[in-house]
Formats: sequence, structure tokens, C-alpha cells
Amino acid sequence: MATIAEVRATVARGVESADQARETLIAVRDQIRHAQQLATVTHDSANERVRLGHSLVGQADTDALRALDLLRSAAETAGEYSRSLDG
Amino acid sequence: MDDNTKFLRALLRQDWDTYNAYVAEYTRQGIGTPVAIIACAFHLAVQRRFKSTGSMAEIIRFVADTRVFFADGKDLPPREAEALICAVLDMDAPWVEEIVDRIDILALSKIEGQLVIKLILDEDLSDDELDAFLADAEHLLHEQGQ
Amino acid sequence: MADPLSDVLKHLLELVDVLDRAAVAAFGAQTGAEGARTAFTEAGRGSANPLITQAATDARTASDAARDAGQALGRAARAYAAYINTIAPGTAPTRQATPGSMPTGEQLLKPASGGPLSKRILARAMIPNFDDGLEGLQTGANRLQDAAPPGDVVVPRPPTPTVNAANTEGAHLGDALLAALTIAIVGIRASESVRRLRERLRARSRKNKRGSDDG
Repeated sequence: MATIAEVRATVARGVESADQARETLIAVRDQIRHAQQLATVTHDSANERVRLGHSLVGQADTDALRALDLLRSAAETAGEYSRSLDG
Repeated sequence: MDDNTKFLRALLRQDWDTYNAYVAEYTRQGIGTPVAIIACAFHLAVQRRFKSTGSMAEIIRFVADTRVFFADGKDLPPREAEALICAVLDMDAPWVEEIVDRIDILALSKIEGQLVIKLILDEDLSDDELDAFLADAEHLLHEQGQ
Repeated sequence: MADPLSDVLKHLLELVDVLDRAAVAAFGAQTGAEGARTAFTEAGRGSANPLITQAATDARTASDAARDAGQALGRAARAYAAYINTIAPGTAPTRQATPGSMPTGEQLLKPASGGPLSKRILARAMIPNFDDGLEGLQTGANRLQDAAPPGDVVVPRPPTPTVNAANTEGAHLGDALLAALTIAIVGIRASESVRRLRERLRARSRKNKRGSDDG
């Protein structure tokens, strides 16, 4: 049975992992914005592949945002749990 | 140990007296840019750190940390830095080859220099361990015919 | 001479590049989120506490979302690459840098065969292949040479830079090391360039003297 200190350390590891993933996703969203800027050079928006590309990039942004929110929430909740442990 | 290797060692150990002496001498003689030994040290240090893991995520994170350490990365363009690490690991990606062929020697050396300094600092080597590492780098340099 | 099509292609190729890199990063974030989930699950073992269970669930959902983002970005890159190849066949790389089928998100990019990349990047740094940057100094020195009395070689000597141990006290270590590195690479190289230039000018000056003796 793990001690409270050990459990807190494990939670801390998880929080750090979550924070790193968040930082990466923030960078991903920057890259997505850059990509969307570059994509404006395609005035050929009737083209099926271009439309697909635009749509997928939009989807990716939504997914990245969702991951960001969930990671923040996970880290906060885990932190709450850690603080609630007696000792 | 070659003079250039000792020069790099002085820099890595922050032995400024020795470092300054080398700078004065090399400037006077007009020789001694440590570009080649830096490249060899970089080559070995990257392989030691990333060879078995080889994940792009780790490389991205390491470059980000190094940029923070060195003046917020004003002299360390992230894309080129990541590409050089990938190149040493023979990790192919669309942009790596172009950067390998086109990067100019000054940018190459400044990027490799910052990365290798951070790799060494992260390892927290003893003096003996650092000497052993630099001896290996020098061996690699001699293999290149330099 | 601006070629509108090649400008567009340049942007599109960069777009594919950016998307490929973003995809790889997103898979990296998936790995991180997965790591958080594992840790929270372990921390909650033997506990009925809903907080830690929620944290683990959220991390798991985040991991899935990051993976979805990565896959979407990879597919977007392929879509634009296919488009590039319709307007300029053969221009865009069709090989994927980001296999969307990697379940764990660990991105091990395909190794280049025979290790040519690592050899090439090492070779790039081997002086003396290393004459770039000389031209700028050359022009300046030529002007000085013309102005100098015959037989004299006038090339300015750069000041000797030093890293002062006292300056580094309290200064961030990274700043001191970066300054030292810059001096080592740029400063000394400037002196090298000056020395080589001086030698060339001396050689030319000797040649001119011989010429005038013969004449």
C-alpha cells in the first residue's frame, strides 16, 4: 500500500506530464494558425482536395483545443486529490 | 588532447582563464575556430542522448528547453536545431535534408554549439567523464581526416 | 523575376511541411497525455476517490483528442500534397512523415538508408571547406590595398575579445556560455579570414613587385 508521500509524488509526475503535453499542444495550435495563413494562397477553394485540407486543419484545431482543456482539468483535479489526502 | 579540444573543454568547464588565453593566441595567429570539434562533440552527445529513444517529441522538448536557457533562443532557430539533431540520428523527415545541404557554416556551428553545451550540462559529468567524452569526440575528428 | 506559380508552390510546400511537423508534435502530446493518465491511474489504485478517477478519465480523453488532432493534421498534409501534385506533378513528397496508424503515438521517424544524413552533416563542419564570408572582407581589403603605399599590406586586426570571469558572476550561465561560444566561432573565424586575406595580398604584392622589376 503506497504511502501518502508516494501517491503525491505519482500525482506530481502525472501533472508534469500533462503540463508538458499542454505546452506542446499550444505550439501545435500556433503551427495550425501558421498553416491556415499559408493555405490562403490557395484561391482554388472549389478544389476538393483543398477543401478537405482546410476542413481537416479546422478539425485538428478543435481536437487540440479539446485536449488542452481536458489536460488542464485533469491536472487541476489531480492536484485537488493530492491536497485532499490526509497527512 | 589537441589544442582545439582543450579550448572546447575550457569553454564547457567555464574555465575562463584558459579560455581567454586560447582566444588571445588564436586571434593573434589567425587560426583555431573550433567548428569541427564542436560538430564531432555534438554528433556523439546527440547519439548518447537520443539514439535509443529517438522520438520527435523528446527532440522538440529538448530544443525548447535549450532555447529557454540561451537568451530565450534568439540565436537558436528551433526548426533548424531539430533538423540537425534528426540528421545526426539519420531520422529522415521532409525538411531535414534541405537544411543539411543549405545551412551556412556559421549558423550550423552556433546551433550545434548551443545544443552540445546544453547536452553536456544536462549530463552533469565529472572532469574525468568530460575528458573521456572529449577524447572520443577528438577520435571522431581524426577519423574525418582532420 | 517573380514567378507567381512558383511562389504559390513554395507556400504550399511549406504548408505541407508545417502540417507534418504539427502532426508529429500532436502525437508527442498524445504520449504525454497518456503518461499523465498512467500516473493518475496508479495514484488512484485502491482508492474510491472520484477526483483521481476523473483526472485519469480526462487525461485519457485528452490523449485520444491529441491523437485525433495528429491524424487530422497528417491527412491534411497529404490532401494538400495531392493538390500540389495536380498543379505541378511530382513536386510534393507523397511519403508520409507521420504514419497515422501508430497506436501509441511514439514517433520514430523512418531512418534514412545507409546513414547518409549523419555523414553529410558531419562533413559540412569539416574545415577547410570553409571559405564563405571571405568575399566581404576581400572587397574592403582591396580598397585598403589600393590606398596603401606600394609594398605595404594593410589589413585591420580585429580586437581580441575575452570573456571576463568577473562579468559572469551573477550573470545567467546561459548568457556567458553563449557569449563565449559566439566569440569562439565568429570572433576567431574573423581573425582567420583576416590572416588568409593578408597572405593572399602579400602573395599578390610580391607578384606585382616581380612584375615591375621585370618591366
